Amino acid sequence: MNTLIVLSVLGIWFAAGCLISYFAKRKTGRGLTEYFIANRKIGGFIAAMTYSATTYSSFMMIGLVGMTYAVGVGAFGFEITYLVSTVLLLLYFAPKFWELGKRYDVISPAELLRKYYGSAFLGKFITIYSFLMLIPYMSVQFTGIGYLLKGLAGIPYVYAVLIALIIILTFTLWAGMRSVAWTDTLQAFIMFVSSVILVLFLIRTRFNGFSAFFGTLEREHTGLLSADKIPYMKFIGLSIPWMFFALTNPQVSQRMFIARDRKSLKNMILGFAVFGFLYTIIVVNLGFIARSIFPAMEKGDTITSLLLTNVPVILALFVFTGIVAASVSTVNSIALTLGSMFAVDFSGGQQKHGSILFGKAVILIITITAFVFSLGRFNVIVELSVMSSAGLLATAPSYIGLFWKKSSKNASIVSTLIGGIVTVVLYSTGWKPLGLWPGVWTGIVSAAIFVLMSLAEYYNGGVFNGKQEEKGIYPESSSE
Amino acid sequence: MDSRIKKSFIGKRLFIFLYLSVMLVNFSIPFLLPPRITGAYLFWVILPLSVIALSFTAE
Repeated sequence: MNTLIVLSVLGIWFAAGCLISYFAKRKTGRGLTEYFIANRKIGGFIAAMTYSATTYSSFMMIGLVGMTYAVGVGAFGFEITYLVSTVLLLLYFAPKFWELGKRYDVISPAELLRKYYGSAFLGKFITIYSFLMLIPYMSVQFTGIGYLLKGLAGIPYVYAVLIALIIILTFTLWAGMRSVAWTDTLQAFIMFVSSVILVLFLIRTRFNGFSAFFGTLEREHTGLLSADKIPYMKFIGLSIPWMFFALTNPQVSQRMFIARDRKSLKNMILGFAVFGFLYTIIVVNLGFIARSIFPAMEKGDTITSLLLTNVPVILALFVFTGIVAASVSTVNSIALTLGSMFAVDFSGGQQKHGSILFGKAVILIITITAFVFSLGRFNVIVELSVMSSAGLLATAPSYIGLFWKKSSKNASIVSTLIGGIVTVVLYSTGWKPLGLWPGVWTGIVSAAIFVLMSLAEYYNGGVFNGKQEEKGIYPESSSE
Repeated sequence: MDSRIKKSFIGKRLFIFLYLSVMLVNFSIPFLLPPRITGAYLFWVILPLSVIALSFTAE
């Protein structure tokens, strides 16, 4: 593909994003709440689009397509497990988080933990922990863009990731959550429409319709339609960390704070659910299509690039823009959320304008760190990303414990720390005790420690402090 | 004490029942189905659609 044409298309998309960010800036007032969560004024449709674009990264069009190519319907199941778990968790937890956020003027997930457990140290600890776990995940998005631009347009890798860095910083810093959420809406649109057109084009030109396509799958690739083509323990090991993504990944859990009202919050969940289902089924079918067209490829990550070289250039450009948009929308949301966590829990607090400047500086540092990490082109980036989702699972008991009267801050800190250590040790050694994947052990260990320590402190009057901890806020259960 | 948090879109008992039920069937039934479009593939189409339909009815 001609380099100039690719850069021109990227330039048009970037210009559109800048225009959107300019108008977003005009609507953004002063203060941390305005900058980081748009003053809780985001409508349902925008909230759904930013939630979707933040969630679904280039992993879908590159990783999931490749995974489906290799293991078939099990990849579909893995992604659907994530989707149904997220929707159910949001239906229950999102209204509670939203109301707690409003009532106690909470901007970031770490701040919620800090205020509930009454521990400044916990807020800082969770912030740093989330940062460490998310850097690899951010880096792999840069890497994806780098390889895509290099493969499709011959742009040197370093320049490609530098382009991504500039785009991400522009969209994020310009107007905070508003520019991120509004540009995410554009990006979600591009992601979705480009992938739909690609699937429909390939089905029509290669198979003459869906019936013929499904017939080909059943006749020639029966194995791909068997769920157990992916080893069962691997399926569980990959699925479990992602099941709690909505609570453990701060860039999505922060979006439980941004909705204008309960109706907007509900519409966010519904919109995300519909988007997620359709996008997932489209992407998975691309994997099946690829397998039918190119049955003997060894590397799954190159499948999407191969598909794009077999469609008209204009369609390839559109899809390529959708993939870049998916990566950018994920990274800028993570950078913004981590920036807010550092701004609130490491800076002077919500009242000071200096906190926003500090937050912006952190966004800059975080994004550049991920960029630098991606320059290493570490072959273990994918493994590091899977490890990061498993590591973040260690924070799940702390967030769920917000609604359990017996939970304690010490249990939160220790369960997260030990859960993280378990993740790193098991992934780095490759050890799978009893055949269970590291993510599963992280969940078991962190949950067990959290529950047992909390109960021990509750019934013994506090293990470390000798008295019952007085918590800062009281999100006791509602009428249900 | 602060006033109670308004209710979730689904009740606690229903959430726990649904979550556990959905995960139980999700991690079992597809692996028992034959390798056809009407097997695990269709299952993983129907399951999320059911959850989404439920979401539309939640208050």
